[in-house]
Amino acid sequence: MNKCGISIVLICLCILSLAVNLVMISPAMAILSQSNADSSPVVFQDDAEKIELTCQYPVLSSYAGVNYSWDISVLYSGGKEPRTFDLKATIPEGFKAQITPGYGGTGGEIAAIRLDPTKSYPESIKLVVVPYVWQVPTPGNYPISFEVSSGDIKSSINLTAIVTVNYDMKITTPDGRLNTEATAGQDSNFTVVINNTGSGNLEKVTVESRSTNRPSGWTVTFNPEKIESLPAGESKEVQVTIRPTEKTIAGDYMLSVEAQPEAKNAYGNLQIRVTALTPTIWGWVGVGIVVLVVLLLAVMFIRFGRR
Amino acid sequence: MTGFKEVFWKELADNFNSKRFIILFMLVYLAGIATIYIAAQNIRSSVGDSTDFVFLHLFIVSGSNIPFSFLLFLSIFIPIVGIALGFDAINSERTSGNLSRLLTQPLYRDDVINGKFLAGVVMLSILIISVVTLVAGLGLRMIGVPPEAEEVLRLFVFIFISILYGAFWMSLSILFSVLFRKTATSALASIAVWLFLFLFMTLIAGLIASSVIPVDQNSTVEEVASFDTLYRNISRISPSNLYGESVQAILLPQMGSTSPTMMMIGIYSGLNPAPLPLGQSLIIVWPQLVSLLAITAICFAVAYIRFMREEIRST
Amino acid sequence: MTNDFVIETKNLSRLYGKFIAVDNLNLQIAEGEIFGLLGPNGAGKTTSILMIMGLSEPTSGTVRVCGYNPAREPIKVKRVAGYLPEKVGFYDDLTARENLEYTGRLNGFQDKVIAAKITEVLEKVGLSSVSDQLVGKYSHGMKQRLGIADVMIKSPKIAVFDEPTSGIDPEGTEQVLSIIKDMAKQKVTVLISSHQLHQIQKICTQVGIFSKGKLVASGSVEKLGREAFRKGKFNIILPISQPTDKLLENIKSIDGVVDINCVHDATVITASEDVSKEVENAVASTTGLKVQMKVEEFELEKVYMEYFKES
Repeated sequence: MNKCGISIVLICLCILSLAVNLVMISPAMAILSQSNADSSPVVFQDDAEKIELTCQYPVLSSYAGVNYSWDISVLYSGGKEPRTFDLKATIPEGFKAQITPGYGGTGGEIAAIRLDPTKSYPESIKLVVVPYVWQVPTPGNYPISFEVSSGDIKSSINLTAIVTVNYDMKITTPDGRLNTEATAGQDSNFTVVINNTGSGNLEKVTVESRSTNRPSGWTVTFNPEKIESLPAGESKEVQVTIRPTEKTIAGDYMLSVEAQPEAKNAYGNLQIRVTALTPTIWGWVGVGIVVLVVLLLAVMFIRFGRR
Repeated sequence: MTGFKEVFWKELADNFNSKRFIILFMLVYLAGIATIYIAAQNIRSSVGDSTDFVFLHLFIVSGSNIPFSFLLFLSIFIPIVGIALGFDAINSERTSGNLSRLLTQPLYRDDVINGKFLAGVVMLSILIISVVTLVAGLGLRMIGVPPEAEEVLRLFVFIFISILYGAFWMSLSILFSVLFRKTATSALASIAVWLFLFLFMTLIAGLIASSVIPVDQNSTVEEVASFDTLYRNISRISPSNLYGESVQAILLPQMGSTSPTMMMIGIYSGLNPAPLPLGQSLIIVWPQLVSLLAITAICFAVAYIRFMREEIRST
Repeated sequence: MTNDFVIETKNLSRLYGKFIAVDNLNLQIAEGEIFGLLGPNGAGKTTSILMIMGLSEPTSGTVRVCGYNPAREPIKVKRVAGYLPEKVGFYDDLTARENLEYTGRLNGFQDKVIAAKITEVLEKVGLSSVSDQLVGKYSHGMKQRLGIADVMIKSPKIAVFDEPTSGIDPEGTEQVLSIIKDMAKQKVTVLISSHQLHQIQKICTQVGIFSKGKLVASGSVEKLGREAFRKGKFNIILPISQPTDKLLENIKSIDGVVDINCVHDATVITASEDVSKEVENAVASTTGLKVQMKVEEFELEKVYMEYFKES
């Protein structure tokens, strides 16, 4: 009895969902057919060939180093035959443009597009503008124009890339080595490079190694301790003087160097592996003791033993 | 005096010539080097941020996987060496038929036992001093931190206590060598006593103490303290515990007491375990040292008296 | 006059619990004598020697060795007395020479003196050729001889040998005995304990017989014999079971006859000389019979057996 009831309910549900689908889909179909109906009179009315470019978000804002990407819709109408259009982007210096199909495509860049006027929907083109990595653009507005042309038919759209200020910094070493050696009780030098990798200037950058980030008892000093100003894209070498305590046990220690401008809008740190060496004299004294003990034992065995 | 000197040199030469001691020496050196190697690997994590008495740590640090410090190794090997030095001192002379010949030479009877004992102590001293120095040298080479004057002094005290501990086992085994006619019996008896005192005494002490003063999580500090006192006192019957306590206090100057439990109680109640000066550490372990000395003297005295009154038959 | 005797014991006793090992021993040994201690195993010979050498303390009584008490002045005694224990042992991992060197040093001799002495004594005991061999490889006889060398090294006034010939082959025994005899020629007083009678008889000038801790007889071999056979050196056994009083009287009157004893089926005449002829005449003259007589000259073994028959 129950089974029967459940199946009846299921069947009812199926019928209901079908009905709902039909109700939902039919208006969309109606709109589609309507737009088709609408566009054809335009084509026939003007009969002029034209190309339209639209972009939903023409102004993009980002900090330097990040790609700007626009989706542009291209609609060709009025023609009878498909036509090939050239694509061209005008970009400020220091940038690079990349034009690719909006969806899929071959994956490569495109320089032209063939459009069929009978198709009533627009093609999508993606324009990506990238600042050159080696040339961080100064903050500001950069106008970009994108043009589509084929013979006398052309159209262009103006886009804007706003480069905002970016504060970033990195600590590196001149030769990429992240380890050094230091002898217990003695000064040892190491050079780090503070890089301003952002697009804004960094003011009053302090370089330090906090006591919690270095082996206890060690002294770590920097020269200079503070960089008054570090313009964007520039770097400065800082001399690190490491002095492990007298009683440091030989071995590897991690030392952390940190840098931060006064405004605390950027932060960089670097872990350095410091191999603590002990003064060679103690090593030799140790070896000397061992040799002495062995010698004394040998003497004793010869002196006290027989034969 | 001639007799004593001659017996002493003869025994020393015997020891240096016997394979038993060459093997034992090698074993002790190898084990010492191995433990110091492990210690040097692990000393950084053990020492932490403290820079006090880093060098002494070499002798107490054990590996994280191999819980075997130089100290533990030494506290196992010293009794073995002591027993090896003494277990056949008298009875092997007797069974080989040398004793009657020896004792009819113009020397006092105690010259024999004294000479043997002193030769054993010298042997022990050579072994312990050389292994500690060897290990200290290797440790210095590996960690590169030179010991301070006080650390060196503490090492000397450590060596002295270790020799004393070895002398105890030697005098016990000499006693057995006087009491038992067969060398195998005296060796087994010595090892049995050692195993009992080394392994089971702490267990027994724990059992007795917890049955007298049961301690659980709700116990008051006073109860824990009195349990600990009782437990320690019982386990002090074993010389290996006397040795362990005293050596720990010497090598770990932070130990303000010979009881780790009391240390913990102290730390919880706000006591800062600052390192003690050597004099204070010595005062703490004084009773242990005196006890060790006393039991050594008693064992030797009993062996001496037995030997002096004994009739020396060749068969 | 203790100085007359090199070794002298007075009422020397040693008890092990209730067991009396040595019972009131009075022993006197003069200089230059070879004194043999005879007795079965467990008679107290070794115990007496141990007390003489100061290796065991007497329960009562005193010992004097060259005038010194071994219990009070052991060193002085041990300086003059050398001892070869019954089961002598050496350090097996040392050579004969090294073993003797140790003894020499214990006696406080200079190294040069020791070397010379070792060569000398090893020569005497015939071990020169094997002096640099490990003693562990020595045979029992060689060890025994090395033991004697060990005694000789200290040039003792008194040499005490406990069973020096036990377990050695006849040839070795000969060697050992001749070495001991040589020592005695150098005015060394020798004390030997043994149960091998022939050897004792061969070399000893004085003999003491031990039985159950007691010295039952002591003196020269002849004197002992006389004592054992009631002062007679000869026993004449007369196969007459019931001699008449006349006969006995006649025999008694013979010069040299010491004693007459009647045993179940014979008459035993003890005499200091061989008086068999006289006895034969006496028997003939008294009873008119001619009898077959058996004449026995004593041997130490007989003496020995005699004593143990009694005890």
